Amino acid sequence: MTGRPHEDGELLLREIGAAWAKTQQHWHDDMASSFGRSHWTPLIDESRSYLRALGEFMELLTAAERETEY
Amino acid sequence: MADIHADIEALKELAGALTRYRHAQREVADRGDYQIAATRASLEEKASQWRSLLARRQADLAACQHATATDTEAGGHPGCHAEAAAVREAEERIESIRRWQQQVEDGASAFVGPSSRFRNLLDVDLPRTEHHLLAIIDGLEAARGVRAARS
Repeated sequence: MTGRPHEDGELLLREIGAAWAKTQQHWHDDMASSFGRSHWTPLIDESRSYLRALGEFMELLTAAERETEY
Repeated sequence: MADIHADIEALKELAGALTRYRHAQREVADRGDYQIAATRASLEEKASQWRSLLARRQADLAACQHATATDTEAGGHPGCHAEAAAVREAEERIESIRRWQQQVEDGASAFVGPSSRFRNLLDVDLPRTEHHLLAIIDGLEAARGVRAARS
C-alpha cells in the first residue's frame, strides 16, 4: 500500500467486498443470511464510516499544510 | 466432491481474507494517526519559526524607529514602513497558522469517534467474526465428516 491511507483503505474495502461476493456464490443458506446481517453489514458500514471520516480529515490536513506554506 | 464442499472452501477463503483485511486496515489506521501527528508537528514548527521571525522583525522595527527618531532630530526621516510591514506579515502568518491549528484540532475531535469505533471493530469485533466463521466451518466439516486441513 503506497497511496493515501483512506484510499488504500477503500481499496481493501473493495477487495473484502469481492471476497464476500465470491463466498456468497457457494454459501447461501440461513446461516449465511444471519452472518450477513449480524457480522458482515456492521463490518462494512463501520469501515465505510471510518474511511469517509479519515478521507475528510486527510483533506483538511493537506489543506492545512498547503495553506501554511509561505 | 469438491463441489459438495465448495461452501466450506469459500468460508475458509473468507476467513483468511478477513484476517488479512484486519491487519491491513490496522496499518491504514496507524498511517492515518501518524499523518495527524505529523501535521500537528509541522504546523507547530511553522508557528515556532514565524514567532522567531516576528521577534527579529520587531527588534528590527524598534531599531529602525530608534534610528528614525535620532535622524528626525538631525533633520533626516527615512521611515520604517518596510520594517513595519514585515512585522505585520509575520503577525498575519502566525494568526493564519493558529487558525489552521484550531481547525486541525476541531477535525481531530470529530475524528475521535469514528477512529475509536473502527479500532474497536478491528481489535474486538473482527476477531470475533473470524472465530465465528471458523466455528461455522468446524460445524459444517463435522456434520459432513470432513476433516480437511485448515488453510
